[in-house]
Amino acid sequence: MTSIEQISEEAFSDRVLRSSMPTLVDFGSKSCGVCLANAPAVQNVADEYEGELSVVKVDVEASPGLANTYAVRSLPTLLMFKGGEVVDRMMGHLTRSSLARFVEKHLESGE
Amino acid sequence: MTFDEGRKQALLDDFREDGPLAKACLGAPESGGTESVAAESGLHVALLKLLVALGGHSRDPESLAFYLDLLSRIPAGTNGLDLVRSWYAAIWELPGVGIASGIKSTAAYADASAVIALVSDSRSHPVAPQEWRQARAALSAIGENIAPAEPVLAMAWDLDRVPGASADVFYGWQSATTLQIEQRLGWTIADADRLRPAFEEFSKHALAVAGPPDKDDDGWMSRYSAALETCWADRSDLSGLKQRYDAVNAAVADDRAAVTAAARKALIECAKATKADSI
Repeated sequence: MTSIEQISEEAFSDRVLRSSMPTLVDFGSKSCGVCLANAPAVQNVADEYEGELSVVKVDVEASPGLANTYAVRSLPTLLMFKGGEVVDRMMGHLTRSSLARFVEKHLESGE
Repeated sequence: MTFDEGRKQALLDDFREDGPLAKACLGAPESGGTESVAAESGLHVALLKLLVALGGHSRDPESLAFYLDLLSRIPAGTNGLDLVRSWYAAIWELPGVGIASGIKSTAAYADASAVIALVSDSRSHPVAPQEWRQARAALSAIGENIAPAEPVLAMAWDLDRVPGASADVFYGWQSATTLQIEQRLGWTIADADRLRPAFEEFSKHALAVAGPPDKDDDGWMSRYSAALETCWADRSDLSGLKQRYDAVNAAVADDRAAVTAAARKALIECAKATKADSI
């Protein structure tokens, strides 16, 4: 199983902005029920696209600056980063298939 | 771990008595309960996740009767994975509420049928992850706004790697019927957006009147509902929209009940047809 690392504000630049592959950032919090419900689907997608997609998570309570920087107003919000920029976002409850569809638009093979 | 006769009876007894296995299964999906019950019982996680999804994660008498009926019909010696795959085929073909009937006249039918063909293949030999992915991508591309494509998309996953997809199929099927009803009755996102502020305002008011929800307070729901009704009665400007919303909700509730009943029945029938030596 691919490990989905929770990253801090300090690590964000290296792990996300300078990542050589598309990176999905899952903004959530421990008190967010929908975030917890989404977790298995996010894990499955991380496993499915391992090697093509990096997946990390940000706890907005631990890293409020990141949530503010990227205009995360509701939870969960998933942002797709490529080349250091946000290229897409998805919010709310998701399914494996809807998340896979979202991800595939931004992978090399889908361009 | 094999789902042998002893484990089968232990699981049935546990569900009858609301034991630890039943509690684990019916807990929050993200709690990993079904995984632990699969490890203990020998049943495949995908089947357990489908079982509880079809039961609404509930222990009400109707759901409990369904769990016990299904579990009693799964032959000892199987793990239930093929049962899930056979259920996919069954719900695709069901007359009336079946998924194929909603997708047949759309541009997504061929790609959806390709997914069903892969599901059929998967019953006799492993399907490579790349094949599932290609089938999913093809259906995604053409079926993005076609409601009945959603449950079929959920079928396009390897159940050994992604066992939670089995429940997604059922939820996708329910969502698809909701969308189709909304389209048929002309209920739009704009309609929902017009009502949303009223819902939020009235809910706050009703909570202020009724107090915080208390499951030990038998009168709470009546007070809450009465307060809501008073709010709606004062807004004649929204009455037409609210009546349409209530009609859509009633139609959705009826349809979801029909889909749930059909889904449960199909799984029971597939279980009856499952041979003891299938895996």
